[in-house]
Amino acid sequence: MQKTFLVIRQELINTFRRPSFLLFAFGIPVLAVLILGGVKLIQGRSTESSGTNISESTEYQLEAEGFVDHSGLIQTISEDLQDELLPYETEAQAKQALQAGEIAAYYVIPADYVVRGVVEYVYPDDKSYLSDGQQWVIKWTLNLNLLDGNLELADQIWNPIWHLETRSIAPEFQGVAVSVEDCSRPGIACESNELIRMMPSLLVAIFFIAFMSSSSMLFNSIGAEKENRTIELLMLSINPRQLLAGKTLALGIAGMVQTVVWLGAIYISFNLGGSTLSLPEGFNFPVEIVAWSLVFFIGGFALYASLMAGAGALVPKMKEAGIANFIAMFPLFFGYVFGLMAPLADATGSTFLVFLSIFPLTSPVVMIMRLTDGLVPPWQLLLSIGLLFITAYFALQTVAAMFHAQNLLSGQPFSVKRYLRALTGQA
Amino acid sequence: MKHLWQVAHYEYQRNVFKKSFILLLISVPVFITFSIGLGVFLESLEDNPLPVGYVDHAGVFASPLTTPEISSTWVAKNDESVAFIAYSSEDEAAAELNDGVIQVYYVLPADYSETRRVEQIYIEKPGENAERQFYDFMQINLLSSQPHEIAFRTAAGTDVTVRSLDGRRVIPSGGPTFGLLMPLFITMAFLFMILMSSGYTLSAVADEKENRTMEVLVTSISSTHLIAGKILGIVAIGLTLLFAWTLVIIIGILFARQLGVGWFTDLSMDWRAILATLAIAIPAYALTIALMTAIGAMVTTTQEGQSVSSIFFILHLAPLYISWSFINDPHSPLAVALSLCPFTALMTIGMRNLFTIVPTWQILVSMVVQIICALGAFWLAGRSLRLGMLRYGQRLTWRGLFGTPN
Repeated sequence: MQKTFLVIRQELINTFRRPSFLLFAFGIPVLAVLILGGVKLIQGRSTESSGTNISESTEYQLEAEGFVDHSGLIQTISEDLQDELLPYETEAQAKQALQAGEIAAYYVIPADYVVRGVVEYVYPDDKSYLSDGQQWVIKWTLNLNLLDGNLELADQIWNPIWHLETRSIAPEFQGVAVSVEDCSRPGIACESNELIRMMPSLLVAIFFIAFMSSSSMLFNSIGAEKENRTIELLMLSINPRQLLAGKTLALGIAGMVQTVVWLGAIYISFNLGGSTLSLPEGFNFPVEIVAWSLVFFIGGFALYASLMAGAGALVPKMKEAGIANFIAMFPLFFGYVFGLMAPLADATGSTFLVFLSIFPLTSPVVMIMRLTDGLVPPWQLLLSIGLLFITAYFALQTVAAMFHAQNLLSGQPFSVKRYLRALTGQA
Repeated sequence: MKHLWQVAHYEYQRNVFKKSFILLLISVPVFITFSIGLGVFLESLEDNPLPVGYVDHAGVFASPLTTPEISSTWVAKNDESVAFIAYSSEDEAAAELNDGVIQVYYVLPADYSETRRVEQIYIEKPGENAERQFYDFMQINLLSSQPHEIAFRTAAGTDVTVRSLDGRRVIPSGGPTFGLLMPLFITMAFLFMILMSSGYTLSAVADEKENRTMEVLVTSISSTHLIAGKILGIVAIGLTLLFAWTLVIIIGILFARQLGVGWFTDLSMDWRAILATLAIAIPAYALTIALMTAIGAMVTTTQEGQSVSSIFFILHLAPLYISWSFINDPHSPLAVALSLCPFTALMTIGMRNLFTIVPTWQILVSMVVQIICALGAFWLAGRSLRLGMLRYGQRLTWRGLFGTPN
């Protein structure tokens, strides 16, 4: 036991002395919180001193643009747009006005517009062609003129729904209709704020990086000692299982500290970010997400650190680490891709994602996404945690069995077949 | 000269005829196929073919109407067409929703014309196709008194094609075509080649230092020929990868065209932008591999070299993280500066080509800067090999590299 503590102590000292770890674990999150705090402070002061709201001062200004109408459709221009949309007889005239700086861009409406519906938007070369500019001005004007200048009908067609009230009568709401737009917590239910919508993806990315970095530390630690032959000396005085336990616990603690700091930074940023991050009033990043995330981190780390340690035990040279890393971490990567993309595709509640959030090899990242997105039924949460910890336990047992002198001192090259055989206890 | 080709041939042979190279060769097509498959799979989750119900207390859908023309716009947008079912009461619609007959229903209250308030009721979030098509359905019915052609055009809306002032660049309303994205694809291909080649380049010298073959080699070949041969071999490996992937991509495009995938119908290229990208990419690639070789010769182990070389890759990718600023202002001083700097130029010009027409002088200056830096890097690689090839366990420092050898 004393030797295990010695290994833990030594690994912790090595890890916490490494500048790259300190920068990644503490530097980046602390810096992010400090920058956010600084911006908030400056914004607060400037709002106090000017007495105006920031959003009011950055009101969007329309630029004057021209149009050349070969279809003869445009007869009416809304009163409020008459200074912003100027007619030209020919394209040469519009081009001249553009080059003289009188207009910012111009449109060419072809003679067959009503049939084809295509309009050309001519930009000067110093503008980005992928920016939408103020295309809505010409679209609205064409819409108005297609309807013979009937402003009321044009407005109704332009925007047939002012208020769309969405309600769900799902069984979990006991059949009572519940308003679905929810910006009080992270998740895709908040359609009006992109940052809140994308928070599940953000958490998935952070957890994936946390798993990758902490599991890789264990892999590198074992691999490096194999490569520089320190393992041969270590084997003389310590049992391989004590060595594995010491390294896993120490790097688990380091990974945990790193994750707690990152989650703390996220919790502080999202709860105090407010207007700086354009978060609506009443938004709250629930502390339960942080708590459950830590549980999944422990289970996920135990599982993937074991798999990486197993790969590390079989790799004779760090040059072969790439393929070993890839094989061990592939299931997590698979979960990461789907967990990251699901909020973008509004598919967080699909059956496939529910399966991935329960399947132990993908649950450490996919369940984080679902927890951040919204309420997960308790049975799914408990089943996922149960399966994850059971799998992690068996993985630890299997890798511990692989940790013997024959594997650790072997110069045999790493192969997927050998790794899988070792994991299934056949080697 | 014969030795140079022998080194290049050996370097090529020892890396290409390996299982790991074959894996690498097929990894990119597999990755692309996986990404497309993932995109199609996630896209399919967004649509729902079940019908949409509505309860109309406002009389908007007195004689409900969908036209074949408006349905054809849904098909053009790859939307799965949904049917619309009218219900006389909310209870009736809710019962059908609970039975899974419809995916969602809308309620238009009696005061809709004044308030334009609509309720959307569902159990699980409806497909995006349902929301889009209900919107079109409302528009076409609100326009039922208009002539057919006008009603269709108003509901279908206007497509705005962006054209540059000189007419050289046309971007359709659906976004950039495959041809317009080609410079960016070339940039990504070269970055991938740099990433792949970096491993070979670092290990080219470090391996022979580690296993002491270097001592034998330097007795029969000059350091300049050795380094030039190794770089030639690595460039050939990179070109093999590029050629194989291009072939697979061309086959994929032809296959997609056969299947009628709209995005591949217009394959017209902006050759000026493609040539501009290549003019930057080739010297940028040469610069990076020469520097990697220099680092490989300076360090004592491959692993040490990998950590130093990752800086070059980060520099190459850095412009990606500020790409939003290029969209807003592709001619900003920052964009111009990054276009002229070694390492950042490739990605910056690759992206700017998509948003604007990069001035010719910037491309020429950038190309000259890259070539001068690449030549300097080749000199550095030769010198570092000469000075560092017989140092074991001792790193060649930058001072040692530029100072007088002792």
